[in-house]
Amino acid sequence: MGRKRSKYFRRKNLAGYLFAAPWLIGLSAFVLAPILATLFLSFTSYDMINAPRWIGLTNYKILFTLDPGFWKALGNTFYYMFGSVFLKVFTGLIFALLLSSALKGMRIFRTIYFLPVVLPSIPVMFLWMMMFNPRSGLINQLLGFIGIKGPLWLNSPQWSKPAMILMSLWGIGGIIVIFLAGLQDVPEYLYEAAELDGANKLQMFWRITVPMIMPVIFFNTVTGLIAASQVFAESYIMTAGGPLESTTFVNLKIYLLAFKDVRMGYASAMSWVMFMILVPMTVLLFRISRRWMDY
Amino acid sequence: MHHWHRTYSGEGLKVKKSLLILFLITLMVAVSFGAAAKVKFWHMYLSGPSKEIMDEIIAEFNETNKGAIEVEDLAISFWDYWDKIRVSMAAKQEPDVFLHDLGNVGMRASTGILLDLKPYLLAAGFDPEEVFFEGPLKMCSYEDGIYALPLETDVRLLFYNKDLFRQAGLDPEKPPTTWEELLYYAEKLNVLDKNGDYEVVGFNPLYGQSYFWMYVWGKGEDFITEDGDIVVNSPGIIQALEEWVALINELGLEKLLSFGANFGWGAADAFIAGKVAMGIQVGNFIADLAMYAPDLDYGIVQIPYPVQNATWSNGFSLELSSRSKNIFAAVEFALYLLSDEVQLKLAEGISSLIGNRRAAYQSDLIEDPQWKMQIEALEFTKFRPFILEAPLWYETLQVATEEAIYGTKTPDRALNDAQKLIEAEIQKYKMTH
Amino acid sequence: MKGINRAKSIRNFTIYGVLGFFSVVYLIPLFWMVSTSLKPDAQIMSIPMRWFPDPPQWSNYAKAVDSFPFFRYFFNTLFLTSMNVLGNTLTASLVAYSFSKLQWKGRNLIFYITIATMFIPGQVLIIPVYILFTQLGWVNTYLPLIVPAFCGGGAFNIFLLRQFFISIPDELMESARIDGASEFKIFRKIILPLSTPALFTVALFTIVFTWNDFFGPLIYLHDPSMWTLAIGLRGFQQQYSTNWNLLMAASTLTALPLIILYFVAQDKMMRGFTLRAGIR
Repeated sequence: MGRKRSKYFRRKNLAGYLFAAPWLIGLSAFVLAPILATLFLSFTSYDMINAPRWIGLTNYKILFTLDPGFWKALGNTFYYMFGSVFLKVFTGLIFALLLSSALKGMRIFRTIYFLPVVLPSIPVMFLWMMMFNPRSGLINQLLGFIGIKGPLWLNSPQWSKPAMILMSLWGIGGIIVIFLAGLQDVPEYLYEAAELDGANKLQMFWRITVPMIMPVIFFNTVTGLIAASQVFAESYIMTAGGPLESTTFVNLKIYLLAFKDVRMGYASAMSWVMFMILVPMTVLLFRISRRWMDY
Repeated sequence: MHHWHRTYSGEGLKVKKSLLILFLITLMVAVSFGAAAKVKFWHMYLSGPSKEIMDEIIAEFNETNKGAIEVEDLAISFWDYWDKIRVSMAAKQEPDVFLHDLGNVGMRASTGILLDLKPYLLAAGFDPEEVFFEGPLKMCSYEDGIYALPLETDVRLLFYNKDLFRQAGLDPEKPPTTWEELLYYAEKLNVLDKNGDYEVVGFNPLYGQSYFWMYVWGKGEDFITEDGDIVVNSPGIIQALEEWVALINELGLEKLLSFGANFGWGAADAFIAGKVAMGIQVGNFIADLAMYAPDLDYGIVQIPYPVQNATWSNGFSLELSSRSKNIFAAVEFALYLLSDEVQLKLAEGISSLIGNRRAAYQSDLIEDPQWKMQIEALEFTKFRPFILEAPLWYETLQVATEEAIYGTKTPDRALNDAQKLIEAEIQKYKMTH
Repeated sequence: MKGINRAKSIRNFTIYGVLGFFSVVYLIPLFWMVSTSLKPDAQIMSIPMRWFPDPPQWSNYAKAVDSFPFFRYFFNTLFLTSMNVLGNTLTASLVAYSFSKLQWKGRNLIFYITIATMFIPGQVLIIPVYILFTQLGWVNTYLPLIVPAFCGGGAFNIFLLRQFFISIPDELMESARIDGASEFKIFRKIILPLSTPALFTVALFTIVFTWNDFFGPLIYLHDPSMWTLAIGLRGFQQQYSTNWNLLMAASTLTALPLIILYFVAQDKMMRGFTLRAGIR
């Protein structure tokens, strides 16, 4: 009995490793190795031409004591992350529900909502800059129709981040697609049984749909937070981090440090501090979600 | 081989000599049969007339040096160029000759990746001070060497709308030359609508390439002390910022911002749309005017100054890798690109200015008064000083300027804070280097 | 009966109403793109904004296609994209199966590490990865842009598929195992068929990302004959000016295959939607 059992476990383990093998290679070679390299670099001064020079904790010391700009950028990043992600996931779910209905023409609607994901990002950003134009842009003109004087949007330190959050809501096509796929997997009979029991739509939504697609909700939330924490292109191209550094995000700082300022060691240290802050946050999310998921 | 050893002295020397001749003949034969030294050259001339000219220039060079040197070029779009060259340098894969930012040559020179061109220039009979403009050449120098060549550069000038001048009763052939004249004319050129908002702004200090540091230089101040340290909060500079802020406040910040919000770029540019009477722009703006408003009657003049003539430039440098395997060939090519003939050719194709002063004055383009004015500006132009320990100091200055303009800080507080930030950057650099 | 019908039509009306209202917002950028692509030079970016070019300059499309080796870049992009789709769907599903349905030592730890790696800001990894590929001698080939797809397909795809696989009931596999089926057979005959929406989602995301990715091809490919459409689009933007109308024309042409693809292939991701969840 003992022998059979360990053979079974060995076979189990083997299968697990075999299936995961491509990723074990990919993870260690293309992901972990560079990541550990940056960890090493964070303790060095590296101008990217000559060999890195060990300086111990100096980069971290500077980051914590001499760089108020980093903490401001961190604040901006969190504002953007939490301001956009939950809104996006929620709206994405609502739209996915609407789009999964069996009405005619949904195909066209689904394509329309997916469009933003497909269009090349730079022209789209310029379009948004035009739409946010305080005087002649579409958004303030529409607000004007209902009697509201729109703010300066991207030109205002207070409204620049809300503007970018609004812009990000436009790009929820990817989230919708994933929700659509997830909604497919909810077994039909659950709804039928609930209907027979006299449940209404709202109850069915909360009691059946949401729990069944929890893994997908979780996925969209986590990947949404990760993507939002790395927001960069919009601030680089549309606002150059301004006005008054209101859209300077951590990733923008890191890019400028690594590519413009040639302070790769310091940029690495900043990335790791960011990592150390984000990971515990997500672990917390994992813990909370465990109570909700069932697997 | 051992024959040679045995017949070492006396006859050996004769053998040695004949071996040498044999070697040289073999070398010449090998060279002429295509063992050409390859020179990799990266640049940004991806399309349009500048691409055609560059292709021609390279083809001519390859033809003249057939068998000995072959230049392989790669054109990358401007926005992507910097990332591509940065990563290739990090991986020791950079090309032999490449364009880069004239504004921060020192950053690369200090790492040792650039070849010091001074000895080669002198050996080739190029006296850099005679051949190149002073401002750009200074940006190419680092410590005692010259680590780059000024390939192309630009200047800023004051563009003014002649029609608006006439409408305001001003003589379109007599544009302002001093700062006081500029402000006087500006007031006359302002046109307000019935709400008191700007219809036309005479001179908009927030428009185009108008930046605070240009005013600082115009007042005869500088950002570098005699010791070579960076200073942004000297009394002169604080005074300048106070005046700059006062000017904007007199025009009305809110009104200027909401005015500016109406416009964008291309055909929607404020000057091109005829809504800014006098604005500071870079020389390439002439091409924009030709494309979007060919009928606009405009003139250009050197930027009016309070104390001394000032304008500023950016540009592209030509740099060589010190790790190149074909240094002599690369130097040949670089000197060729900066030679009078080639620079004359380049001047026709690119929309910017060239770095070779001799060529600039010899060119037919000097007949064109607009071009001539730009060349004259190049004689006294300034570049933002490059500070190795705080290369982005001017961005800190710009933020301080904005804070003073928006009123969140007084000018002296904003500049003092900026100075502290810059010094902190320098200290950080020293801690890690 | 009448009451139910009325409730249904109110609901349908609401659905169409909400979707229709917002789709206007979603369509505006595409409309602007196409409109700009047809504008003559002098009308681009004019104030006030013109919605309709007058007259539409269809020749812009011909000019745009002429501006860079459009068809060559198209085929390069097609090649890269297909390789990535193949690699990602194949290997990410294998790996996700391992993370979700197989038990092995270290499984959870490695999964958490996988997720954690997504948190490192990508900008700082560019240089070490580039140096790695240089050491391998893969620069100026397509290898850096293809091989990672066959080595697991990236944390995002693995995470995505794993979340989908989790909801497949274990009983299905248990009974197959009792019958003596190998893991691979279970994977092929049970898991894959049940996951077509997820697999097509991965394929879709891979296609969209690879098609529009300019950064990878930019830094790894030195030979312009290997470049992709995304790089070609960048060429329209110069230092002080941008050829907006040609850029939009080229962008529209680049986006068109993806739009058509999604429109046509949606079904695969909406398996039997008339029978499934959502508002009926």
